[in-house]
Amino acid sequence: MARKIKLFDATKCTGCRACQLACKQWNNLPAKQTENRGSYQNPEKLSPTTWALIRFDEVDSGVNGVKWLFRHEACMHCTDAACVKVCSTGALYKTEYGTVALDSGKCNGCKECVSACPFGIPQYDPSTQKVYKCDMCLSRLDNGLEPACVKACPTGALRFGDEDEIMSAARERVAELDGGGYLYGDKFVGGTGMLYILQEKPTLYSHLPTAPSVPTSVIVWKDWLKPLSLIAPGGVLAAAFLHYLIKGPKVVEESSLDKKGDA
Amino acid sequence: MTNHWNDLANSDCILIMGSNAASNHPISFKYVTMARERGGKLISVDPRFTQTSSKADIYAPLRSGTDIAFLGGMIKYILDHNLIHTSYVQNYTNATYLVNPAFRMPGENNGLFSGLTGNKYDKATWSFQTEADGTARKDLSMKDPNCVYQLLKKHYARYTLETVSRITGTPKDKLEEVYRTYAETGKPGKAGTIMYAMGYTQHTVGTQNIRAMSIIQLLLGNIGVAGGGVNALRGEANVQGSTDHALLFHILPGYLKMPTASQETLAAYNTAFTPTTKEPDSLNWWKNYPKYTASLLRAYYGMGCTLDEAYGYLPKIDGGVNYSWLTIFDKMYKGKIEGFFAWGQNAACSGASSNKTRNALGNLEWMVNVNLFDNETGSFWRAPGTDPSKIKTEVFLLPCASSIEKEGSITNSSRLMQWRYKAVDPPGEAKPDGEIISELYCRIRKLYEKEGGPFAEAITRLSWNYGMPDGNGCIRKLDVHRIAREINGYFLEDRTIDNVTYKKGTLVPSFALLQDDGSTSSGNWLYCNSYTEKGNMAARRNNHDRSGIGLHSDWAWSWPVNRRILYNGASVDPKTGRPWDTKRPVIVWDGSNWVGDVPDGVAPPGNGRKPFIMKPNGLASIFGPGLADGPFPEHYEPFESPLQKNIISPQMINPAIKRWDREGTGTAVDSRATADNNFPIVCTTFRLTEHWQTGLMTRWQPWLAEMQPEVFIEISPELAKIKGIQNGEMVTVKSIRGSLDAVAIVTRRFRPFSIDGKIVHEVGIPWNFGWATTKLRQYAQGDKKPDLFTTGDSANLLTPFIGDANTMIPESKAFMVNITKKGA
Amino acid sequence: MITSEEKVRVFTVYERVVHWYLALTVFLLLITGLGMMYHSFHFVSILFGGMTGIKNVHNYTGIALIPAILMVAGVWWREGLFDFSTDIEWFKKAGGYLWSVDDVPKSGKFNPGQKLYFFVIISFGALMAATGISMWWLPGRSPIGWMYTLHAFGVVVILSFMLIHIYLGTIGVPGSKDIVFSGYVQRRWCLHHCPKWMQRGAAGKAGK
Repeated sequence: MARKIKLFDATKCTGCRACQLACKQWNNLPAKQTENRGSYQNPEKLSPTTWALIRFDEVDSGVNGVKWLFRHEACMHCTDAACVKVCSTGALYKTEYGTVALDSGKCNGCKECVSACPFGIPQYDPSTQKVYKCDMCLSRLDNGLEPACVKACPTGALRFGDEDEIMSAARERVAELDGGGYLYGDKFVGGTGMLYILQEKPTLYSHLPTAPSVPTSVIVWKDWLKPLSLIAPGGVLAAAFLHYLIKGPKVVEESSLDKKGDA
Repeated sequence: MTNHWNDLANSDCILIMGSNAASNHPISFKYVTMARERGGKLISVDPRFTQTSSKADIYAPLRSGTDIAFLGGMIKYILDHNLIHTSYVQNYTNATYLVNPAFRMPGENNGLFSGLTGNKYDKATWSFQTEADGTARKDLSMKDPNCVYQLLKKHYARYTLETVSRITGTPKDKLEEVYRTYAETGKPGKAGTIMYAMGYTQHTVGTQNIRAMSIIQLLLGNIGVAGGGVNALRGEANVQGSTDHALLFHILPGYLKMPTASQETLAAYNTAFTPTTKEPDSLNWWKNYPKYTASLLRAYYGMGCTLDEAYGYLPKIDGGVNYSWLTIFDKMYKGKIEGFFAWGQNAACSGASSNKTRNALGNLEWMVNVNLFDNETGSFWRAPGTDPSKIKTEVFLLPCASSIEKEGSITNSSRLMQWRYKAVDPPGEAKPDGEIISELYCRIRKLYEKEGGPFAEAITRLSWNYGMPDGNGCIRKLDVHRIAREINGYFLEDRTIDNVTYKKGTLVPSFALLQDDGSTSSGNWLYCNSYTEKGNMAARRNNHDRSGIGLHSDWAWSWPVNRRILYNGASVDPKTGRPWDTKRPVIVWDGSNWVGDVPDGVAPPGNGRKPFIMKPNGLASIFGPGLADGPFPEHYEPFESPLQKNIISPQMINPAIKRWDREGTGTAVDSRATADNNFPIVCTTFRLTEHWQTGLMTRWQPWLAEMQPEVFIEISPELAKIKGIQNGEMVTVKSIRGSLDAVAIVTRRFRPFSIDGKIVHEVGIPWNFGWATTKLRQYAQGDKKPDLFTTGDSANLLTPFIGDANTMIPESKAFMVNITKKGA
Repeated sequence: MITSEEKVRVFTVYERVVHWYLALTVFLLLITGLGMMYHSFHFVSILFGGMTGIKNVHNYTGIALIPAILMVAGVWWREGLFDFSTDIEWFKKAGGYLWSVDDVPKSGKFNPGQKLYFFVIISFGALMAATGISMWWLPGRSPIGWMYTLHAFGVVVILSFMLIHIYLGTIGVPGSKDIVFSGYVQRRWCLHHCPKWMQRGAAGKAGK
């Protein structure tokens, strides 16, 4: 099956937050008491009960100008998904759509994915000892529907479809914007399953890594130490076996001991 | 809307002014985005940089309440640079008409038009010169100094870039950029549209704000074309429907006028409101007025009485007396109203000067609150700081069904009547509003039948056959299809018209067939054609678009007669019938018929028929003598202003408004603080995406309350610094009428204005909040507590008790306040 | 006279309890840890009531590891830590375990190899506890990722040393296993493996 990806076009987003709410509705996520902290952004950040969030950033522009940037923050569904790589229980996995889904039943809350994700997406809930994140509405995809956030988006800022189609539409749009749009997501972690067309340079968006990658700690652990953790004990066992065969057990001979003892 | 939602996608330039459409009409941005993708420009003019501004090609800030100065400058720019659509202006507007030489304009008359006495204009001089045959005297070259075009030019000559910038605070280069960009659409084949909402109407000059934009649209030939128009974004899904069906004091359904006591007979009433014209080519559609009156009376009172008797039953108002919101609440406040039905509204939060509204409710004997659930209005007697033992008002709550709990239609901003089906039953005792009315009607009728009373027949003879009566003769289950059919209208006798025979009891196919002799009925002539023998047109769900310009004519039904773009007769050249815009034609002459949209009364091309058929002369009014406050829009300062004097004239405020702030007319809740150092900051109010109106329906919704939990105030960093306020801190906002605590959002989206060389600060507050869902209020046993609390009360605690000169819409969008850090 | 057949008590009850406390803790940590880490070992989680259960057993056993390490350190401390001058000689000759060496420096109660094992168990045990607690109690932000890596590294080291320890403690050096069970070994065994200790007379003391 062709890989499915989501496109967020910030140049079309009006920050209405229909996506944020649709996500809560479809996934049946409760609201938590919040307060206004001097921003429209609420809740402040992703949480076990908020899997998609519109981030609001105000950026100075010119003498009197300002830019108001909106960003749909949710799982990026990386090709090289660090979370899947580190997930020891198999709760996080790649689906047939190329998205990263989460089988909550398997998750034991080891939180390794939380530290591995370069985008800070998985959210740990101590009360359930589980991690939560956007799964691109797997239950909808399985029924031939697009994710709830995409369905709810009034302006077409969110789109969903086959990778080829979305990629070419995104490139076309960036060309059309002629310097007014920045493609984000095609150049790292093997390409993300949620692509951004940003209205401004990525550096102007809060909480958005400019060069995200699978963390070195994950590579050291999973690509080097993991094989080593099999090789090393295996080698030791093999060496012990050989030692037993060649050198033999260290038996204390009575005569020699006695001799020495008497000496 | 003259046009419709989908049509926004056709526009080459969209000017959003007096609206934050991206936030408050999010779906509109589907079409705005489509227009932008096709290369259309988006201009956002707003005191604060909004979500709409974030997507705009040009953002121009202006001080609240200075729209006419801004637009007047644009009119001058268009005229100075001769960017008008000349053929359109000459043929389709009254620009060529000669005006009474005695007419005087503000520039030469101390800021007033001629004829003012007190706060009322005598409009004798606001008239046209006539020829001997009674037609208007015209100058097609538009050079006569008394012609409308020249007067317009003279009037707006005062609105120079310099003056406009001094008034609005908009930098001159921004003004010019907006003017230049928008005026581009004056070229034939280009279309510009305006989207406005409450930011335009909630001013003492609200009607004139819209007039100013209409004049621009006419000068640029943007009315009647695809992607053009003057488009009011209604603040509620069915506001258009409620207006069409006359949920206002001064009209009857279909914009028929409310009879006054002096119009004693139907003939006198019809004569007063049926216009005549001597213009040979004008269709003058309102000449059919008596047909619509007769059909309405038949719908009201049936065949059991004569039309004259039925007219006699109609309630009449006193001529010249206003019965709008402000007047009602002023009377209530003064103890002159005994009972009040607060139906589907939350007056305690939505009304201007909420302290007045809230106190007014306490002077009632009784109040019936018809709503989905309890609200600040129904519980006003136990609001924080109120002593229930001192309130005598008896309050009843009648729970009603929400829109998804009943079947019926709504009419949206596109004038599109869409049928909706019931999804679930109403909970508990809740009933659809119609059934509550039916129940009330039945009981009131019985009382009148038993006890009699003045004008008893007005009630007892009403035709009320919307379902099967129960044992008591009451209709408890309404058949909404019967109501929809009554609105459309029936033939009450067999009639043959143009060789076609219509049987008694059949539905009238179109309002052109309504009769003035009582042989037809129609509950609302504008909706005749909505429910015909072909079925319920509003329930049509064919999404195919034959037009190619998004008319979707087979989807639901729009008034009048399914016309999607009003005045579309103006979209074609008057002589050749060729569309101005051949790429996006609204109507096209195929040799024998107009195809495309339902044509707006136009005859075959070249016959001289004028397209603005609802005007007696068939022309759009650049000179509009019908309004209370002048035939041309003139800038007056808001009722409360930061300025000592009006920069453009000696007249400070709209002279034609009704005032309550003067000695003997009002109290502290009506007071005014203008050019007052105690209240030096301009304040405006706005809405949020997440909350609906006063928040009654949304503040209880946890997901929405989570996103917008608290009333806030947007403040520029400069003002915040002066006041020592940090982002996120609590602020106390005070106007002369009330105060409110709000969280500060310190943002560069608000910039200080330079007004006439002086720095003027502006702040803005959303008005979606109210005390009923807060944590600190008292909850009695059995009261539902919200899952999530919101904080803060209504911004209308601050707003002034003053209205527009024509509509009396309160001026909630420009008033004066002061702010301090809370507790400081 | 004490004959070579006589038994000498090498480990007190306390020392044996400490050994098995540590051994069982580490064993439990290993099977629960590996049961989580490798998909092919997930079946182990059935014993602990699923993946969350196995994690909880692992985490709380990890807490129990901390006193075990401290106690083991105490046992080692009492016998003296490293004696670098002679221990290095011992290591150079691999204690005579790998090739025939005539003259292996004499060991005390614990030979330098065993002392190294003490060192590894204590230092890496501490590392495991520290990284484990960070993973468990701290919010999992990015620097925490290295805790997982270090934790995994610790497993490699500890497991490797432990396998050597088990080999030498059982079939590699016959007779040694008795020390951790009964606490007693034959005197001659002791004279061979722990000559210095015997010379000090510590054994005699222990023998009583």
